[in-house]
Amino acid sequence: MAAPHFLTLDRIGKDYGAFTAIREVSFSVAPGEFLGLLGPSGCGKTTTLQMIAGFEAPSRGRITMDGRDLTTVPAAKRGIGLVFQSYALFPHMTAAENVAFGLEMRRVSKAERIKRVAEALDLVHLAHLADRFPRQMSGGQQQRVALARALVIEPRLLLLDEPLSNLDAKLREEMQVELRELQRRIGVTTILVTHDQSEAMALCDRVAIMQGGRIVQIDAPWRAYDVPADDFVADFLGRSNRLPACAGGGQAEAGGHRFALPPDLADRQGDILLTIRPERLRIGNDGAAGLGGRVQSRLFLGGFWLYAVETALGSFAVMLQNTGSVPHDEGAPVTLDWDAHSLRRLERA
Amino acid sequence: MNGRSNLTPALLAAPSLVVYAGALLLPLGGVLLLSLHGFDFEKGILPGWGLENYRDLLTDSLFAESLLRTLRIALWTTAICLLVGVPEAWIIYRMAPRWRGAMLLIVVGPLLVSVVVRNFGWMVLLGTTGLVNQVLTILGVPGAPFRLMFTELAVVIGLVHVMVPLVVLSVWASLGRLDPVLERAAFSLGASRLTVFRRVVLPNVMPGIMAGALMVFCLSASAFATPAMLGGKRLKVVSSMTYNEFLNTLNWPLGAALATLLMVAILTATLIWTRFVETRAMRRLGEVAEGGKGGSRA
Amino acid sequence: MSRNGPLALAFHALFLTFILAPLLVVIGVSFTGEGYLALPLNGLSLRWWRAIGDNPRFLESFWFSLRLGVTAATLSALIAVPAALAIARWRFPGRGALVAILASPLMIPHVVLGVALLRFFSGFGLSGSFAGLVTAHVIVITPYMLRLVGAGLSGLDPRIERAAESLGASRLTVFRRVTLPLIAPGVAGGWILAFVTSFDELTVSLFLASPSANPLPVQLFNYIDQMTDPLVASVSAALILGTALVLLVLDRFYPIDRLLTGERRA
Repeated sequence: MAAPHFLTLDRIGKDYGAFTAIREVSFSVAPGEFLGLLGPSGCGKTTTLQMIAGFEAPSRGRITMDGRDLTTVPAAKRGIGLVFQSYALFPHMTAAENVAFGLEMRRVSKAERIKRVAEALDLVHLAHLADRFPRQMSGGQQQRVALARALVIEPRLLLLDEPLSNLDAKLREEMQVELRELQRRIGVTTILVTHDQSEAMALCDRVAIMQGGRIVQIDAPWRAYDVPADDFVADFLGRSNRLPACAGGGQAEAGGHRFALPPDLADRQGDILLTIRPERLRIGNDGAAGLGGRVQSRLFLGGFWLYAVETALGSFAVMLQNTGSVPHDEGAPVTLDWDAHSLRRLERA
Repeated sequence: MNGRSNLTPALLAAPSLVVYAGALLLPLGGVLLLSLHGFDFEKGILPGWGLENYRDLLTDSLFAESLLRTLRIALWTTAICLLVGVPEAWIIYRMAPRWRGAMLLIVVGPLLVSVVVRNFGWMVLLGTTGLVNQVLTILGVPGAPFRLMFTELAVVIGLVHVMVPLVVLSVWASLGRLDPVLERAAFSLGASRLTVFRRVVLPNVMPGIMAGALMVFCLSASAFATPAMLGGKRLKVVSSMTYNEFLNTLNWPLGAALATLLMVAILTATLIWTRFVETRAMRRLGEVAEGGKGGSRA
Repeated sequence: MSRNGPLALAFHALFLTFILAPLLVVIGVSFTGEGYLALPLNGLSLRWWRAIGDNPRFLESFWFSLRLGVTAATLSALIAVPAALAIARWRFPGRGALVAILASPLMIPHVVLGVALLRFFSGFGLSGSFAGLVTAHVIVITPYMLRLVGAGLSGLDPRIERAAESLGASRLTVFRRVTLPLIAPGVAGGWILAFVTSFDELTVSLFLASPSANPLPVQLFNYIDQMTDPLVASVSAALILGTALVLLVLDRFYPIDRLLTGERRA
């Protein structure tokens, strides 16, 4: 990153008694960047967020924001906007009062407050619900109020803790688009914590994938997806098929099928473990060139067909776009085929 | 909010701790010390220390008699309360929602009426010419009218009346935490009504029943008002003996020894009980003595 | 629709009879015109209800108990709310012990408590005084207070407080503007339960009362010890009806099982 670092976590660690929640986490966020902290539950992503917000003190390491050490700054003085999964709206205050709270704490004058609350609610398309109480609003509306409440204080950093997990699938997609667009427009540096890899990939400029209290990979979403650092990342970011093969002379052989290796693997010799994503596989009719197999099962997913194809090398998941053509029947003999550049070599974890 | 400042919780807890230390721990310690002094009707409390009071009590047949009576009354009361209160809670739980609230109000509401008033009601009912005996006589029950007042039976009836709402409440609270879908799941698997109650409901409300049982036993064993009012002056229990030593005989050291023994007995029963019973319910504040109001009763 | 069988309903009817009988009989007998506890009634009379007004000691005791209950419940709230906050929001060494100590008055027989406080207070001349009774009652009722405030706090998502803090509110402001308004129902419920418990408390008060500091239950207990005339019935009936009225009003805002256990109705 050429841009100057806005927020830096320098070898942060957190212990609870004998239990180590965070072993060592370091990363930097550029101004205006949208970073995702992604991982399964218990990986330490929420603890990391709490330390940035100031609700947990790190056991080791330093957090700096804008060049200033945050360690001794209390949560109330950090100027960080927070949105929780449960929204954590004040149930005894209306939407407008919720949004105004942070401004009151900053002793913003009443007239100014009214203006900025209206602007913030407008930003999230909720101007018409200003006087509703949280319990009178839908989940999606509460979510927007929480966002407006965090944004109205013009935070230097926005922290989102699983903000969309409580919404149903359709609304979640809409909110993802809206959130991304809003973040771009305001330009606020944002960190999103989520266990949902598709959400992180859809929203973030970069994702940091965490496991067991450390970051295993930090990269642009498509890089992490296409070039996973290890087995864990490959599995976590989506399905992948393993293809154990024997390499030699720029080619490889597996299950009686010979195929080309991508240029970066051309000089490999001997046993090699390759992976390939389901959507990069093609299914050919029996007799075509490729790895022979048989359709074990198929699932219709609307836009896609998900096949399981049994081969001599095990079962392969294949994702085919629904083009309207006749699908392959269960039990039908087929062949699997792919482009050389779709193959990745997997580091043995 | 965890552990960012160790001073804040200490400051928050300080006022209550000061009050408790001054008005609970010190006085209780004082009773313990007082029980070690001698007493003389001429000279009052003697300065010397010793275990004579305890020796006197443990060799006193009158004390042994009232201790046995106390335990007997407490055990009967606990058994009856469980036998009656658990099914009642279950019956209310199974009622239509609009009835539930009203029934609960009737069953549990009397908890908020002074125990003196409730005992007085039983005095009116159980007297030789009271309503119960009048009904028994009209029904031609042989031997009626019976002497009911100033018997252990009267004390147990009075105590059950005071305590049974606590059991209902305690079981009710556990039932409230029970997922109603569990019952349907059991039915769908072919269980009969009785089996559902025995195999699904009962194990889940057991903590509530156990907590209720302990509370009823402790409160019955230490009850003063009901034995005093319905048992009369001759039917002494440990509490009324203690009261007597303090306010009538004025042998405070002996009364203090009685009080100490009573408390040790109750605390021992509690400890033994909680060893056997799941401590899960005790972990959360708000369930320390699950299912309601105890203390001042009886 | 009830899912209870006829046997269950019969049991329920018997149970209700048992629970209500002593209360109804007191109300009934209070309307006698005779000089003794006559049942069944030979006609209705308000003679003994009027007699309450002629007996200033019951009225005095009533007002005394009211003052005592209000003072004790309020003081109890003042110490219980911070303690409940400490227990609900912090993990610290000795937390378990604090919970046990604060709940301990529930386990201690009230006769023992009465004896202990009588002995202790007589050293300071506090026995037989309003202050002594207030102190004793605070000890007796604080466990109930803590239970309801604690239940209120455990139902409050701590992230709501964190959200307020992240918006720049100080600890005190968070408490004043967010925590307190949200646990107010719990505090109010605890206050009411504490008040009623204090108002009904007999055993501890018996040891600490004096002619100038005589709560109503003690007054009634001592009166019954001397004689049982229909005046006891009319005073008792007044207490029953008063409690029922309070309960009916209260139930609209605060279901009774929640009041007594801190839990929501199933």
